[in-house]
Amino acid sequence: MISRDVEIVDIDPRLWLNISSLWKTGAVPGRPPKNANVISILHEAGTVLHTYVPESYTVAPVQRIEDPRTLAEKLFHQYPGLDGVQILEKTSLRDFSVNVQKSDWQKMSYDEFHVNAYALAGQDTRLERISPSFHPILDGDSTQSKRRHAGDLPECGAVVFPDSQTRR
Amino acid sequence: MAIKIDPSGILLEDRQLPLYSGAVHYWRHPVESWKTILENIKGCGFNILSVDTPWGVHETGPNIFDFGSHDPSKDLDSFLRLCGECSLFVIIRPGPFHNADIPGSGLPAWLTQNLSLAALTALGTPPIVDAFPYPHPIPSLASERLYQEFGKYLGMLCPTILAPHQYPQGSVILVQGGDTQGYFDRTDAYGIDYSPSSLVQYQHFLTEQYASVETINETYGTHYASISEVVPPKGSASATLENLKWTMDWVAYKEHLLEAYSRRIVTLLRNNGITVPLFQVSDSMSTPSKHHVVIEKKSEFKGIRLHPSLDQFRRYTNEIRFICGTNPLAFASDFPQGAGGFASSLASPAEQEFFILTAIMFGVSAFDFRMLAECDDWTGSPVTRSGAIRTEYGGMLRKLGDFLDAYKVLESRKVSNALVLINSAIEQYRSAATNSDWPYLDLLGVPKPQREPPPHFNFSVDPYPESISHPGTNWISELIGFLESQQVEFNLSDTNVPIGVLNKQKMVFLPTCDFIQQAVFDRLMDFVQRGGHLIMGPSQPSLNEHFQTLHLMKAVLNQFIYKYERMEAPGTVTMGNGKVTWQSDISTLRPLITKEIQNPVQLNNPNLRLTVRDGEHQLIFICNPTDQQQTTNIISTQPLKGTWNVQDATFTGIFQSVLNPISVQVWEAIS
Repeated sequence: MISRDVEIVDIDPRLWLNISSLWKTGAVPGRPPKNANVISILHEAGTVLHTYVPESYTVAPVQRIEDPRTLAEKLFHQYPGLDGVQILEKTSLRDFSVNVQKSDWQKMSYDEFHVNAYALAGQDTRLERISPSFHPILDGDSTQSKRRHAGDLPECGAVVFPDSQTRR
Repeated sequence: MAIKIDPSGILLEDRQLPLYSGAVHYWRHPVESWKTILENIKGCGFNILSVDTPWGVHETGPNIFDFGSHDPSKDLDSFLRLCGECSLFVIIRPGPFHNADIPGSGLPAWLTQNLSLAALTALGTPPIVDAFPYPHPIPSLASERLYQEFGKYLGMLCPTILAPHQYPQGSVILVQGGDTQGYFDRTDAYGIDYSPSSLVQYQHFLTEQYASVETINETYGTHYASISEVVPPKGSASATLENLKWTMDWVAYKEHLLEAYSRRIVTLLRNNGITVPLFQVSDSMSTPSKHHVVIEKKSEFKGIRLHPSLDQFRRYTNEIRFICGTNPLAFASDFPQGAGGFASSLASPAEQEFFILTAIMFGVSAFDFRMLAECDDWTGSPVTRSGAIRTEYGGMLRKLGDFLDAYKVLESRKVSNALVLINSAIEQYRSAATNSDWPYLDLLGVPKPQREPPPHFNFSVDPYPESISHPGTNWISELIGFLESQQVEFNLSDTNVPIGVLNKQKMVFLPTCDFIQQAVFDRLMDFVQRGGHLIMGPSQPSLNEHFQTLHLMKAVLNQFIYKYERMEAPGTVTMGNGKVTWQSDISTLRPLITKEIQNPVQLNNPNLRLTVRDGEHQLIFICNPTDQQQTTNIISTQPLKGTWNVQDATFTGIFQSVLNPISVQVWEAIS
């Protein structure tokens, strides 16, 4: 439930369930949680192509994007309870997909690959993402950090973090 | 062959054996714990193990094989011998591709690092899978080198290790030969594969379809000098019918490539001494794959990976109905047990019981679970890594297994009174019209419908939203809701369904757009001529797959096989011994629902679902998929005896029952 580097020895599976929900994460650090309340606007050179609004929210239509950052912050503060706002320029989506796959994947672990992907997204000013709640205690960190944190959990059983990748 | 597959499972000589199995990864357990693990798996009610034999685990470097010579836990021969000693039959899953719970997707790292084998995206990059523990490119299914290398591995695995363990001498009774895993979820039309070897296969495919470059030019409106010049589309082109045909042919080619891959794997297995029946596995009903293709004329079957979900319960039940409508043996492959490194949640024993029983109630008759024994970061399985039974999960399976045995549940079959077809023409259209399903956008949480609006053609009905995978309402989703509300149980299949299956149906429902494959239309008209009732909507097809006029009649030697008269307005016409109904408004179909096609037992609570399984015992399944307790009247002319999750008493007429949240009750009809 955490990573292939964590070997669960004798912890009740349901406890793992709880730990996992505490971490609000799948295996991908930084990934928005499933069913997150995110307003997502796709535009092409400022012209809005599509606006995705989560159920139970009514958002005034946005026709044109002039300043993505300001608009994202405005929307995020205007609608309480949102998990995030993202304003995405159409061509940047394709570029993001290409750049992730052009990365130096041969030298990367699973974690590093994702950390790099989010770094690429963060560097692209055409991908404006405001998502503070995607970064609770551990989201966005590597499995290394999660290991350290899991090792600190009090009295919940034994967790072994093998250094080697044997038996795989 | 001593082993046969039938709708009830596996027939070993005269012994009927339900296909009820689960996975164990022997190489992830110390040899000294194997025996305890196997004995306790047997103790949980299993007689069959499924055993992945990953290529990457056993060929650790080019031509460096380890079947126990270096790492004792890779001694497959000893493991299989032990299975036999524990009276466990075995299913072998040799790959080459495996699920995410096996590192590197089961492929050798030395192989995947070699980019000459890789598929290519439309943008010329290798498609990288974010697999544990390291990312890797997707190999091209058109790569000859892939088959050469895998053939070498099978040459070490099959003749000397697997073949001697085959039934009747040994315990191996089935082998998996092919799957749809090869696209690694890149099932969108323009994701992969644009590698040089794939382009050669694409041009061969076009040659088979069109025979000459002149026909291709006529169809596509192009001016190629030879077929070897034809390039594939890299996105849905401008909205002309010529471009639409070009892009839909590319979608069809990708299905063809998967089929060709499965054939190659089957040939490799047979050439390496595998004689037991083979089976294939699909990722889902919407995976581009020819679900009805027969790879070889031996007893074989196909499983589908089910994804149990309370949030998407209707989709889950439809996947099950698709398994039933498409396969003689309704086989749920890779059915979850426990959770691994990719999961963020773990089903409780009660939820697992619910998922298994609902799979059965909607028609599954065969299971392969993953995973039966915990290993590494996998947890929540019935057997722990030390080999002990994890009481709450193992106990649930034991109890459930006893019930399934006592009532011969898996040998029975769900009663289905109608067949709903997924229209492959609509599905191919949707795939061809989806332009920007680029990988890794899910990392950003970009909603799929947002990525790009589909093109529009001058059709009377837009095919795009009529797809089974469309998230909103459409004709087929309204139909399914309507049938469920009328308590009519049905199966799902697609328009490639053989005529023999069609002719067993009273009613067949078909979502339609303006075009349909001529061969599919002919087959459906044949079904009607023989007395079937075809109900279609929202459109009445008028074009064939080439967007030319659909032939509405078929004659041989001046004798009409069928002659269909187009309707001017929605309604019903008789044809031969049957009827055709064209109706865009689902609510008007109510008069079609007769007692004849309703379940013999009725409920008055619309939140509940009910199905019947017929066999040695007639069993009535009622499930409550909601998180609230539900009360219902059960109306039955036959006495019903409580058998699962209900008091052991017999009732008849109208009586009340209370169902706990997320639970299944089973009653036996006493004749």
